[in-house]
Amino acid sequence: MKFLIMFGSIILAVLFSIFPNISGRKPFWWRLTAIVLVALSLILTIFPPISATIDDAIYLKKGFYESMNLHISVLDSKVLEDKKNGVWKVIIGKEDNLSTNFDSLSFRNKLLVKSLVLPDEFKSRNEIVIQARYDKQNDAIEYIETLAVNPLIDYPFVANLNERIKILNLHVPLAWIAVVAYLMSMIYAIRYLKTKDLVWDIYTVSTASLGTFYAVLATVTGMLWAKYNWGAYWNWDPRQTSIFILILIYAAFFALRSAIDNEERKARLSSVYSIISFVTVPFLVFVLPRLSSGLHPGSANDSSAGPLVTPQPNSLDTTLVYGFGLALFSFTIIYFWLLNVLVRYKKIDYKIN
Amino acid sequence: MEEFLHNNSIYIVLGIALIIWFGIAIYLFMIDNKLSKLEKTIKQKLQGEIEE
Repeated sequence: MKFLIMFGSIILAVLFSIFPNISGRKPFWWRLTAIVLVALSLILTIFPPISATIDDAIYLKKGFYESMNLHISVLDSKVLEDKKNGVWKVIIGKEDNLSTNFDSLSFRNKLLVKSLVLPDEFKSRNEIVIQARYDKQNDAIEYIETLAVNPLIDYPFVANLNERIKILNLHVPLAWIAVVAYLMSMIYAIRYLKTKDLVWDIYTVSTASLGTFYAVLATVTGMLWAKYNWGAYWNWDPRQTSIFILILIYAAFFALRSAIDNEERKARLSSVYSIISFVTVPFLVFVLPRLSSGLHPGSANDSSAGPLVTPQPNSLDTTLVYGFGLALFSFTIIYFWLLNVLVRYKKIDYKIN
Repeated sequence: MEEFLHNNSIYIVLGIALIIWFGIAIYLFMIDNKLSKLEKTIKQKLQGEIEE
């Protein structure tokens, strides 16, 4: 299912992007759909709350976090009012056979709402996301505020990542589409060598420059994230090192192109270089970072998170995968749109000069 | 500042999204500039043909 969504979204985006044609002007509805989908994927990245399950409340009790977002199920008719202290005692949890004796319960099932009026969302069966802290005196969870009632999508809590888990929807698609762009560059290079038509050379250089653009963006966004998660902008993690080498390889591609004046010679040499440099891409992106130990998920010594960040080993959280699929889709269509504009520009440039 | 950003990571995510948008915007501006130059050369070439 996970792979179906991830690869399906890329394939769908490719099909959507090459329709009605790859180099002509896109119709209005195409551009409108693209913008709406990109905006939707951004909204799905920024707005949904991060929420921990009730089992993660142990981090509150242990004092790792001052306050946390918890996803709780409110059971109706299990609210007790303690008028003397001005406190509402709410029994939370999924178990049906919970005892109604508040004090005998585990701290995970006890929620204290310290207000005169009970918030409405506690009055019926609801799934709510609340900000909570630990109340030492009563050994219970203390309610601070409600963040969302019955949220459609909320992202999972992973210790030490918090909101930073949302980088999955921004940084990872950039790196993936960079690889797709380099792949396209190789395909167009082969096409040029077969047909000797300079149009394919325009495609080769456009998609290679877009791939480099995406790779640089992935690096910069990753650096900002790494500063706050790993402590430094640059850590020489295997994946950081390999994308650095990758960018250098493709920088050499552009240096090679600008060094030759003759159009035919330039196209032939750079096509061959593009094919050779793509051979290194699978090794640098998929093989080396998994063989060596490092900080990125999926490294050799990474036993907990697997290739994708998740609280459960080796699987991507189901609520996260839809946002990720949509993000992949929208970054792919942005890539094809930019490619479209760039190719149209370069064709005119070639005809004029 | 660093402490604040560490505890409110949503601003880092926001910053990352902004970097991407600014990146795409800069890229667009570059293409736009190149296109304006191209338009100028086309105009000059057309004028040259008329004068001939």
